[in-house]
Amino acid sequence: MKKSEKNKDATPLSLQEIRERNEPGENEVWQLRLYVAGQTPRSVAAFANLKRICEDHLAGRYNIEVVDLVKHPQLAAGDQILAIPTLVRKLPQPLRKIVGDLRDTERALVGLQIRPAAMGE
Amino acid sequence: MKSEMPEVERSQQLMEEAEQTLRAIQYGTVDAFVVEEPEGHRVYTLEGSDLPYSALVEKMQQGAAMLDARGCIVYCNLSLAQLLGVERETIIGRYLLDFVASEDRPAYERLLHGNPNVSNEGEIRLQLSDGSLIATNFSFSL
Repeated sequence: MKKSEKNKDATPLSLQEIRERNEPGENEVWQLRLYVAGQTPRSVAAFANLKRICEDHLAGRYNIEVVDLVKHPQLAAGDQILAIPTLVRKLPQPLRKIVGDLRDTERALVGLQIRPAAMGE
Repeated sequence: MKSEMPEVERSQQLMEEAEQTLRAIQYGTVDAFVVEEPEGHRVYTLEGSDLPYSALVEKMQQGAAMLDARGCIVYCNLSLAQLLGVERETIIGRYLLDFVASEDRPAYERLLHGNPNVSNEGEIRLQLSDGSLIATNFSFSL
């Protein structure tokens, strides 16, 4: 692990420190791609939930790209989308997928690996 | 992303995605699916994006019906059933002609079999089950 070079003579990392190290930097812009099917109820809900989560936890450092697979079904191949809505985290790496309308905020945060803002301070 | 991901990690990820998808279907948090067909990808929706349209037709004040080529009612909205004073379930399968006042039946036939490419409109009186007549404006289109 190259990451730990700085700490080679220090005490072992605490769980908190390890968690921080594995998380994307504060200034990194998140690239999120939401696959929807027109205006189906779950597609609409997914966008609303995603927008809220991003505003609450990633304000000012996220980009949401909405891909309508009804209009462009061939675009499903790229990220191998099967069920809709599906959210793909393009950045930060590694790529992660969350299937569903993100109604469960806790699960969405875990899936996206966003640390709830309150916990970090 | 052409990943150099080890085989085990790759299959773990696939497994996780499959589980997620199953859970999403089970809890109804997805409502459309991508299906690979010979002609390419197609999207199937459970509760279609046509939901607003059907709600509109169901709730609108005007009576609306869908007829087959012989004039048999295959769909009718709530307003039309109320206008005719008949249970909706009993209307489906009947001929709309049966509800038209006898003097207006020739006019009705002309509208029904008129030019299918234009909207055919005309005044037609409907005969209710109690024998009373009500004047209505008909509009047919294909």
